Amino acid sequence: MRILVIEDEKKVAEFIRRGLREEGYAVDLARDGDEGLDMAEGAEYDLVLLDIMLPKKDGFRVCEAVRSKGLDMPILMLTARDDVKDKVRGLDAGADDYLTKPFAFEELLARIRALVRKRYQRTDARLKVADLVLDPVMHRVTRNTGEIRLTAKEYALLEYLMLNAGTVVTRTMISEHVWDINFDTFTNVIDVYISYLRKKIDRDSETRLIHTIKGRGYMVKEGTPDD
Amino acid sequence: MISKGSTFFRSIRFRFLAWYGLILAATFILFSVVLFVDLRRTLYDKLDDVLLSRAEGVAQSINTYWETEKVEGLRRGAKSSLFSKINNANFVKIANRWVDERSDDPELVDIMVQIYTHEGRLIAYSRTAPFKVRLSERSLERIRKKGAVYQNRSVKLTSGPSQDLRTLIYPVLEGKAVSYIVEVASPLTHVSNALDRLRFLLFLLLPATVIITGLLAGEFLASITLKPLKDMIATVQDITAERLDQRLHVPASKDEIRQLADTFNEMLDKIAESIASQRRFIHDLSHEMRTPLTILRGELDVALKRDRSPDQYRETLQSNLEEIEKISRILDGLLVLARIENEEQTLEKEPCDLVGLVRDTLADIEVLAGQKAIEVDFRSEGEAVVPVNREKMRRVLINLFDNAVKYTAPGGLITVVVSPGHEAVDIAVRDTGAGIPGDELPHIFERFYRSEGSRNGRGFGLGLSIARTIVLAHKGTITCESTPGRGTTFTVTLPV
Repeated sequence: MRILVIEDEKKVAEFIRRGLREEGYAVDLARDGDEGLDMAEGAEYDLVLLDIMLPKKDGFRVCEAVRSKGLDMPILMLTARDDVKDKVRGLDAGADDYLTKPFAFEELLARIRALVRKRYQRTDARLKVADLVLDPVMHRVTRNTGEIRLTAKEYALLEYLMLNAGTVVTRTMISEHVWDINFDTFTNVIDVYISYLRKKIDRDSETRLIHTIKGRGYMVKEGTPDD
Repeated sequence: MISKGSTFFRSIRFRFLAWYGLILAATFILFSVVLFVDLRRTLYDKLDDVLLSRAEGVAQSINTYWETEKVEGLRRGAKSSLFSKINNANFVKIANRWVDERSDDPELVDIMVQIYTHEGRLIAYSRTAPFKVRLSERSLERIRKKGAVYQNRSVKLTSGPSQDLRTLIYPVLEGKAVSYIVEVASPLTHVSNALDRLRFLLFLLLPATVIITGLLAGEFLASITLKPLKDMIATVQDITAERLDQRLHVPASKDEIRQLADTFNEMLDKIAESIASQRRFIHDLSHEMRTPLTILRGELDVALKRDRSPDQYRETLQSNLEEIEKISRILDGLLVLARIENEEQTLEKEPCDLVGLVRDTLADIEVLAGQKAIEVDFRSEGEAVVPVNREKMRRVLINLFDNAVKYTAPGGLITVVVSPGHEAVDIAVRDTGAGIPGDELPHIFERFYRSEGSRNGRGFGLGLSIARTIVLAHKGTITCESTPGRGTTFTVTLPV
């Protein structure tokens, strides 16, 4: 899950990045409206956290520009203003949700989860494939065999795979959504993490859920993939 | 209109009506009394004139009878001395004959005639005569003193009620002595009828009319006078702290109502300004507090999410401390600003040597400038003693100098010039800093405005705002000229 944070206040951006990373999100920072817009266009983000009072281009304009370029990732507006007018303007500009500063970090996380859930058109917060269940609220992963302990990175990778369950996820997609930096040439890092996941998830179970699609990438699915 | 009795009786409208009615009633009563008295006298005078002329007519007529009798008597050889009317049986006969023959004269309609001897003994009377008794001693006495005597007398008629009469007792003289007395009387019916009618009109109909029309007119006048007031009350009732932009309609006239409206509107302006200032304070405060509070809360939330090393905790706490200090500084700045705004009216000023003040303040700043290797050049073009609040003006200077040092690159130059003029003194602070872009210039004196260049630097955008507020409180001006890349000049102009 890759999130773009557009925020000019250094310390705010910093704690958001740290907090989100610890939750297993990949986080990129942009310091002003122009930079934010460039970055939003340049990479595929699962969510944009957007401040309104930004240098060069304010949040409303960034939001409109993002939408006019056909990008449809969820946008969560983050601002010091709490006028109804501003909220309406933000939502009308194409934002999906609104959070007023100061906020509880747990609330930010919950809203991010909700927006991501909506993006993948699910109503249940938990992700399920066969007996594999991932609870993004509790950060718990279980199979019939019991709870499976994952590191933050493993968890993020599994969450991304499960969100796209049934479809092929390429290494490029994984590097973009799970890692902050583009790991293009380090795809073996992804392979290593996949093998870690396999060990923890599929080793003790009869049915294997993580499949390698030769030459294309990976897929999480019940049963064998068609090809 | 009248919802509560008690409030109505205390209202201006009631007092207006009461006074209006009272004055109107007093005027009409005076008028009525004068009119009535005057008319009664006129009527009596006229009646008395008629009575007098009738009495004279009667006397003349009787005298003519008597003279004819006398001429005949003389012709018959009677002695002239016998023809005195006093105590003369013949005269009694003559008088009676006159009454018989002449009392039906149309001139004497409604006039009753009685003729007495000089002693008051009745000797002849007309048929309608009312009294038929001798004259009282009192009447005789009055005749002797005053001559003719008018009297109002009431007489009981044989049929019907008593009748009021106006009588004239008229002594007829022979030489200097009263020879006989004529009493004429006329009913007062016409006069008293007229007066009764007038009395009815003046003391019953008129007051009723006056009271009714007076109340209506008074009410009408009160409405006209009070309408602007009522409108005002309605508008004033609509005014709340949330809707202070409402103003009273100021009438075109230059009357007291307009003065009231003007005064009230001026007061509203002052209140609105004061409330706006407080709102601005609260708004700015909450707005400026948000970022440090967000950082505080966010960093703590994230830090508490899991166990961390002492170093990480220390880092978080250190950062939180910085934010708390920032909040304190914002509060201090805002409080200073609010205090100056409130003190605007009561700013204590005393003559102050501006050149000395600038030099003293620069001494402190030069230490800061020295650290950045910035050169400070100060010159004055003469003495400048201006009434200012020394402490406040010092703050203005510190803020301007501090700004100049902050935005001037190492090795730059700050020039301070004090130039006294006839009406004002200019203090110019010029730096060789980065300058301020044209589109930002109009905003730099706004609270919490931070230019793009200074946004992540220190300061909260209150320094210039405080400086401007203080200068304005001195009735002075503060302006800024800037060329990006070349430098900025702030000029404070203070009236002498």
